[in-house]
Amino acid sequence: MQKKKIGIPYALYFYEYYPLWKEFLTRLGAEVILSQPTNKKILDLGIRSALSEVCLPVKIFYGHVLSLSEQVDYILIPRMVCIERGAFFCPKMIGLPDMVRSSLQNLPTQLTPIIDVRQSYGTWKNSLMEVGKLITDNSSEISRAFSDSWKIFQQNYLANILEPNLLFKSSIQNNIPKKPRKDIEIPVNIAVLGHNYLTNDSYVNMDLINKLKKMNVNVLTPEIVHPAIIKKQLKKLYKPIFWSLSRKVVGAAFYYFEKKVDGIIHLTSFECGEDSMVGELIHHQSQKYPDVSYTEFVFDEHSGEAGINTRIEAFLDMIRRKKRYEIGLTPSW
Amino acid sequence: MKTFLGIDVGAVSTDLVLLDEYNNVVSDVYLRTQGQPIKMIKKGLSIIKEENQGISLEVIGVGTTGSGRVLAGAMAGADVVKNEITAHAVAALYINPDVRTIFEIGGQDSKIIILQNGVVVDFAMNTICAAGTGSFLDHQASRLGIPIEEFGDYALRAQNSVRIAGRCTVFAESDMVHKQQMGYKEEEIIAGLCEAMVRNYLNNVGKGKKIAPPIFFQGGVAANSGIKKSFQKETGHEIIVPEYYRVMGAIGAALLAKEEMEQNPRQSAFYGLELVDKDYQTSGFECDGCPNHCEVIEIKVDGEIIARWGDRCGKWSLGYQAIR
Amino acid sequence: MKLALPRLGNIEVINNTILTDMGHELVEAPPNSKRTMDLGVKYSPEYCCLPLKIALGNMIEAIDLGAEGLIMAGGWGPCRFGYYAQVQRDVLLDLGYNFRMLIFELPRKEGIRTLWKNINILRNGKSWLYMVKQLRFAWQQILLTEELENKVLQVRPREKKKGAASRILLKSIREIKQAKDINTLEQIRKETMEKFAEATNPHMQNLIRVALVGEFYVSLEPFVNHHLEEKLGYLGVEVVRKNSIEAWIAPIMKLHIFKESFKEEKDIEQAAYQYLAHSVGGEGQTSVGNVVLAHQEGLDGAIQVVPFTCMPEIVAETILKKVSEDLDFPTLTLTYDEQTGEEGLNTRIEAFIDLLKMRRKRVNVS
Repeated sequence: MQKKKIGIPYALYFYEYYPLWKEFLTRLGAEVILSQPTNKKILDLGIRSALSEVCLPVKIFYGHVLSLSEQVDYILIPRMVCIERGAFFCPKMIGLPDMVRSSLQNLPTQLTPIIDVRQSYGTWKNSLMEVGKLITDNSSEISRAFSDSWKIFQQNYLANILEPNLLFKSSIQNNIPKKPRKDIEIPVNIAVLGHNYLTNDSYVNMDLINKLKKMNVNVLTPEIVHPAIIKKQLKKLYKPIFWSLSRKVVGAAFYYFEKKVDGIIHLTSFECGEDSMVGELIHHQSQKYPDVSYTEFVFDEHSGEAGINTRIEAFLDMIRRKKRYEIGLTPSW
Repeated sequence: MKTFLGIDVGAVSTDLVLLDEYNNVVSDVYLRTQGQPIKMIKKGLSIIKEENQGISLEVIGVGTTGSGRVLAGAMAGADVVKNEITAHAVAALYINPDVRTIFEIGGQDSKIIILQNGVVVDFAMNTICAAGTGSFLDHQASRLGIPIEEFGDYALRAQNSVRIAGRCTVFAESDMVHKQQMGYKEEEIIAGLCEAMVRNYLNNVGKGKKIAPPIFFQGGVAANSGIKKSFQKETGHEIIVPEYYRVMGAIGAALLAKEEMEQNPRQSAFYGLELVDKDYQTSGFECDGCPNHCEVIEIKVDGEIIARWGDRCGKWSLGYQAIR
Repeated sequence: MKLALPRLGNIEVINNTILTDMGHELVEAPPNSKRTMDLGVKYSPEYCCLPLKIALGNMIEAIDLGAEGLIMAGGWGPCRFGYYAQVQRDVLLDLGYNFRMLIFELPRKEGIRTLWKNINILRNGKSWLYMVKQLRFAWQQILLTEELENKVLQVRPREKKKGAASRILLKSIREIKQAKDINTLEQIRKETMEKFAEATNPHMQNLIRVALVGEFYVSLEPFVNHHLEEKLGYLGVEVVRKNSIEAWIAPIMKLHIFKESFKEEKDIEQAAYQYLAHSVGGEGQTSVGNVVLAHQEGLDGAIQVVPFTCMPEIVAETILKKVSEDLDFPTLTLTYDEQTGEEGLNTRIEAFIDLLKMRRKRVNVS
């Protein structure tokens, strides 16, 4: 029998959950096809097929779905509702399968398992089992595939997390050369925050992280912060946040503020509802830490690379010139 | 005379400034870019040459800034290529080391820079649209058939102002047409436009920023006294427009070049004022190596490629490396 | 404590019942105005939705008038509304205001203590019995207000003299606000209905009927939607308002005693199911369901009102394109932000109504 081809759009929540699905489906003998990393063609496809009011990440998701449509038998579009008590995914992710269905025609069969851990049908296990049944009838095999892939997924997730003192390149504060010949020699820690479908999509964020690294920046992200630290940081809020994905961003932001990194860059999508609120929380917090430079980069389909480059340069200049002042390298004019 | 050259290439204007060793402005040139930055840089340099006939000029440092800074840097042989935020901040700091806020409004972008104790601590640029920029006013001025230079005077004459709604140019325009039909005076509409622009600027670019005096207002739009007045009204502080408000970016670039040459002394990479006679060509092509289809730009002197940039992967990049 | 309740349509009718009569000093939040909007826009995060901005402006105006406590509803997502209070509180504190935010929402964990405290602040030492009585009466005031508001939508396009219906309603709202008992309410109801009947031209039949769906606040607050209901009424259109405070509060409070609204809620969900199979927060699924129902009820079309960047309504808008196509049922989406201009809005509304009228003609001919 020919292997069933299941397409996974490389966008939105799959930045988090692709490894789980890939492991699970492959173990069951399906062929998993991940769409290409976002590129101009995918972006254009998405922009053309979505309403202009829709946020950029969803438009990109559309593009990925379309780019897969001719290569696969099924497309996986889970309905992500709730993965922990007291928090949801954003309305657009909850409605995503319906939005895709309404806007795009001639798609392969869509698999839309629902993840809502408050309901018995929506637990990770039951939801994945439901999809597994399409591939094989052997339910004990499905069950085993689930527990194995779940274990691997958890292990890999924890493997990314760094010990708090490893997060920052050691003794960075005392590491500044007495007379740096060039600004680039002044080491800096910068946290790049945002949903991982934005921070990890180097096409959309104009390769921001690599640009920073090339400019000799130690880049920190939310993924490397331990969930327990994030949970603790979130206690600072007057009211708990009820969006799972944003919890991580805010918790990490508060942590990095507390650790006095040199700078924090918050990447947001224009028209993202969560970001509009979360941005305000982080901005509010930033005022308590005047030593930490903070900026927000807003992305949409019209963002130009020149503008982003200018912002990155200016942000680093700001931090490094400040440091030079501190070590007494003031300009002579 | 030993001098430092600053070049600021923006979408709307190309500015050049020549500073002497004591930071005095020897020459300043303000030109419309008109989509031809290379031609304008050449033209600017020949104006500088002409203005200083009979004086032997030695350019010992060159800095470029603005959205065309990489192009200008590659073409002129710059010693430092800096973003326009740092350049504007440096120029303002030189004039007044206590400056706390800079409003910079140019043709297609606008910025706010917040400073403390002589260093930049926060900044923002307009995102998404041109609502708080000079092109907004340019567009409305041509629509009303009033030269942009006179816009400010019209606004100052108005007794009242009309509220013009509209985040973007297009919507503001339809609201303006509506207000015209309702019979409001031209002055009042222009005053309303100035206020709308300042409101858009403060609500978008200036949102959440701690605006404290002294406040500098620079960039091409600072010529507009109507905008200055609206800023004064909205912020409640005096607005200082520096003498060389139009070329502050270029002054900053020249100062940055000086700083660079003092800290890392070396021979300037400047190609010399003779470059006005050289034949520069730029061309671009779309790379089809991957689905990104980057637009690669290259610049040639007398047929020889001296720099190439614009690709995301770095396959084509050559010569001038500012930020890739 | 000097308390204020932010504006929402005619919600002010309960001000006396739940505040003054409970022994609080009432601060009437001024009606929403350009100033409210300017204040809200100036201090809110740029990309937040319009309701948050207006409500914030409203709060600032109330505090400036002396309010020490602000009553606010809450929620637990996924719509942003549930997080308004936190963000608004941050912004107001940053501005240096001294006040207390009294959030009423179904509690979570430690939230139950806060809720209890807030209820007790509201109770203000009065007996529980008295408070329950006041709340029940406030509920009756809301029900009557909404009944009259819905009636006005039928009267306005048929009124003999332009503006009569709105004037009658305004007067009745003032009376409802002053009322102290059920009998008075009943009296107001009777008198208003009589006045409405008198103002109506009975020969106006077969009007264009349009469902009004979309985001709760924008659809119920005339200042924000640029008096959309009135505009449509004066164009000779009968509006069928699908959102109501009644339908909003009843399910939150799990007040199944209001059986009818509970059943309606289920019907709407069912109607939406084929297109949007899951609630997406806010009024997202409700908007889709109500458009499907409006089609079944034989209305001519639907207008969806959306605050710019609203998450649930953008989901609904995307899906409504498909619904409208499948059912051949015209749907117009109006997106509002602080910059929405009157002219563009009028043009779109008039064109849409013309379209509906032409469709009628076409159907009649064939």
